[in-house]
Amino acid sequence: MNRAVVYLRRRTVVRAFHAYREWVGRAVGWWTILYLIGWIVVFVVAGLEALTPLAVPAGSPRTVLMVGLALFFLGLALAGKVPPVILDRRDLHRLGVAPVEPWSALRWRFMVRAGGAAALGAVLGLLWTAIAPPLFGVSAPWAAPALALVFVARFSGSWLRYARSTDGVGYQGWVVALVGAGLAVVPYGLADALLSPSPVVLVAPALLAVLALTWARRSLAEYWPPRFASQSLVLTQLQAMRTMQLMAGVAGFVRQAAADGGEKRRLLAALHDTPGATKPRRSLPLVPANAPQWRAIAWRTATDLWRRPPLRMAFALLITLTAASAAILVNGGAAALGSAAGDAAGGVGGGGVPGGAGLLGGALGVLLAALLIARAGSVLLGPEFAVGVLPVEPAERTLGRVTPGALLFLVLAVPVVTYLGVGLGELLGAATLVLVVLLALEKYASWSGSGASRWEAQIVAAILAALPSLVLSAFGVPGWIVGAQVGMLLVLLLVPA
Amino acid sequence: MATDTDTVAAPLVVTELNVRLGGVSVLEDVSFTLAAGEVALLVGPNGAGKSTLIRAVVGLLPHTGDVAIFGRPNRGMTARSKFVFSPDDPALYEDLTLREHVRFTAILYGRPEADAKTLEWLERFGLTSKLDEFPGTHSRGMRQKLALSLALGLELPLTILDEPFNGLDLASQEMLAAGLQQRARAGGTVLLTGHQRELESLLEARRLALQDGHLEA
Repeated sequence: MNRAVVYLRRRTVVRAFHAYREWVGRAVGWWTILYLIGWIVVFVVAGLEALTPLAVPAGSPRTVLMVGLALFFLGLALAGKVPPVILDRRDLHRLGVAPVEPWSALRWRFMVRAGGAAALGAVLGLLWTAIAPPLFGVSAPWAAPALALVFVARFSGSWLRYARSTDGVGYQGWVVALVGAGLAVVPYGLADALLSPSPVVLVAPALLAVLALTWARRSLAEYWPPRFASQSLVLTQLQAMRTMQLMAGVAGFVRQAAADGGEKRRLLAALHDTPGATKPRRSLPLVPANAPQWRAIAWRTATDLWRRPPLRMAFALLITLTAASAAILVNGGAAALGSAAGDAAGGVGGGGVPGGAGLLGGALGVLLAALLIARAGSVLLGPEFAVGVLPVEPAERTLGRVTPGALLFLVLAVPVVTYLGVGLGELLGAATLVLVVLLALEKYASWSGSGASRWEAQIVAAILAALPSLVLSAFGVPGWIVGAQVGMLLVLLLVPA
Repeated sequence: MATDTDTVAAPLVVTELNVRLGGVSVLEDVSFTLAAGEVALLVGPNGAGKSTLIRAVVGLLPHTGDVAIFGRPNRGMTARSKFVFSPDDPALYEDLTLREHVRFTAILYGRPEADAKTLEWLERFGLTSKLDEFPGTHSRGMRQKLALSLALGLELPLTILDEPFNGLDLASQEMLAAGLQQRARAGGTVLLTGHQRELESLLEARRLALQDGHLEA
């Protein structure tokens, strides 16, 4: 059966390579790639030639290298939650359940990943070989192969850490980690491979790489790691999702390119077998069945925010607080900051006028604040809502998606407003700026299908919101800005998109 | 809420419908009318254009010719509030649980009573214990059952289902067939596609046969 795997790989890999070569040739062009590579080579050579030896070489980097390499291997303690190499869905169902030695099925992908690790190590080693003599006064001609072997050992170690619960595998991952860390700090060990011109320094990394690779090979003699198949399937789905989004984006189907946050979160939960894969960890109370449509959509948006992992939720709160502060500061809130406001008040207009006395610098400050608000808005608008064949008016969709974010802005603005003691006029300016950005972002993202998370939609929304400040400041009538923003808000509310 | 137009106009009138995709003609001069209380089964070999016809009817594909739902253009709000569509690959909100799907859909269609009726369908399909789960973890058949429950629970005048029997176990297929007949007896109109030979007699349905983009007489 193992010969069948060899036959399959020979056919599929060659065909895939051929198809990839053709696709790259059509999509980018090989001459273009060669041209770019040529320039990269020129830049690298020019950079290396520009290196001049230091009159007094820097101190020996031995200790730093020892600690770095030791940490590199001790980092294996954190590895092992997901497989560092996977089989795709086809191979899992065709080879994974066939009477084929697991190593035989995984060998090609394992060696490709190990080869990639080796290549990365070799590139870093070459770089070190080039910079070590002029900067540190040491010759390290064997750094490239040595680091390639170190990276292969590290990669194999990460597999062993993952496969630790498989029959016959248990402690090997830790051994690779500890031996690697030990070799990093002993004489003629891994650090010396980057500091010595003798080929003897290759012995330690070579032994470690052979040991780790042999154990990795043996770990796949008969059994797959228990969660390998399920995690491979989830990782394949995540990869497919990313690829589809990329391809859809390249092809111009930007709506498809927008990430489905809920599905991605569910897949990640399934990958780590954590709560949230089958059931939500937390939920908001359901809205009444006779609620208006916008409330149901707002509830969905708020639920999406509420179900975010703690770190992502903290990020959403932080960026919203920052954006709310920026909106208040550019709308005259800086005046309350005493001397800071005094410095800033030299611009056109006075306190309480956006584009006039902003701490961030006039109309340009408003534009930057609007960009920040749009960035926060992309987080707060929640999942996309395609009306499709549903009997839902676009205005209901917009109201539903914008309301939770606007309320969060309002809540987070309270401490800023209290601290700065801004007046009603400044508050009105900040509120209209935030609402114009959120509405414009939602409307444009839905109309164009670009998705609120895309920079394109955020930039359009920010420019639109900052337009009154940019134009009216230029014409010397900054006092009309807030009124113009309110007018723009009303126009946006009427846009049937 | 019934208007004069609703009482006079047929639930679905398709007139000389043409669809071209990528420069290729997929549907040519397709015309038919469905009356209230009628179940129509759209049949044809793979690639005949069944799903394309359904998508054009609900306004998801650009087309020439007229599609009127209760006398209104198919893409308008009035028409959209009269029909529900369930595609062959269940279109679900992956970030919502089953229970949340039920409430969300009922509100979007402005039919609070659909909440209880959809839950009844989910109970019939044996999904009551899964109400607090995400559909993404469910099998193809379970996802199909959720999508069908959402469509049938709304009890809209026109129900359009693309391959609704796919992925269902035998008991669920019988339940669905009975439910569709019941819907028709209550005055609703059903348009569905399917491959199973026995569907026509099981549903006592009118047969609409598509062949190479043409509707056979």
